[in-house]
Amino acid sequence: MSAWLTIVAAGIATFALRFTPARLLAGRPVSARWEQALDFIGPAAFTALAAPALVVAPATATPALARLAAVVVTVAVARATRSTAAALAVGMPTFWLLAALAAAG
Amino acid sequence: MLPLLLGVAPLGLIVGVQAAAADLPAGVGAATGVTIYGASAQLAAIDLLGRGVSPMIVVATVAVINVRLALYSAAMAPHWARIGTAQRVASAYLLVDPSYAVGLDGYRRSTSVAEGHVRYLAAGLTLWVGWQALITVGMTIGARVPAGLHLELAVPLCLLALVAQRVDSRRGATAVAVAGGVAVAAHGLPLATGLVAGILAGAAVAARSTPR
Repeated sequence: MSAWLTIVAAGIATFALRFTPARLLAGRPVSARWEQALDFIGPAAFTALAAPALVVAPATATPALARLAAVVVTVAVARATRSTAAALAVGMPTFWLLAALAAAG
Repeated sequence: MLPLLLGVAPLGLIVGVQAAAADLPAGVGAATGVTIYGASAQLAAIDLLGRGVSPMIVVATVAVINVRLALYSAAMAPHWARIGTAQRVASAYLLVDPSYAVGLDGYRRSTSVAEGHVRYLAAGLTLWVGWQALITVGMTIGARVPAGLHLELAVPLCLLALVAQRVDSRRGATAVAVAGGVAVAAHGLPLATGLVAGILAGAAVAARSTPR
């Protein structure tokens, strides 16, 4: 029950942020710094979610080298192709291949 | 509309994969798509709830991640000034990064506010329906793929792939590196401190290094 209440409360908080048209900001020029900070909440949140999932247990149950290689390959393909799907389509098999080699070796 | 959906497809599927893997009551993971409706906040909520973090902290973390939506809302204010309450509620509810980008562009290209609004609502609704479907498909995939394939690793890889495309300056790279480093270093601390500290540190670095 508590989990349901939590996501409903989180939804209400989110809706308030969407609906209340930020009266303090509306009609006023937003400073470049503030805008830059808000712009980076997205990428910062993604990285802050991703990094522990790759470095902290239970991820550590998988071969470290395979994980590292998958990260490097995924980021490189994402930058080169600008396609998330392509990055994952190369990144995950990289992990599978190296993890299988690590298990065999 | 199709490019819009294709763009968010990996992320929607990943939210589903994460929801399937998390230790949550049935339906809660998928329901975040309806209540929260925003990938990063959904992923954080699912992750934290699955780890048994207290509800207040989960709500606060979601709010921190979604503060940017208030800025989008402010940017939409002139376009939404003359529409009815029901439409304004719907428009606000559908406001999220892709609908904001496409919607703002639609208002600019339209000859009237009404036409722009139709474009925004059409894009927003398509995105919403597609998003719920993607989460459902992702949950199905997540539940069926053998655990030995470690599909859960696709979640952080997908997030990093998106960050890699978005960040193309040294200052941006520094900001996300700080966010990740702080999140890892503080991961063991209670109350989801690592996640929130990582986000705020990254955003602060981005703001501090902005040339004035």
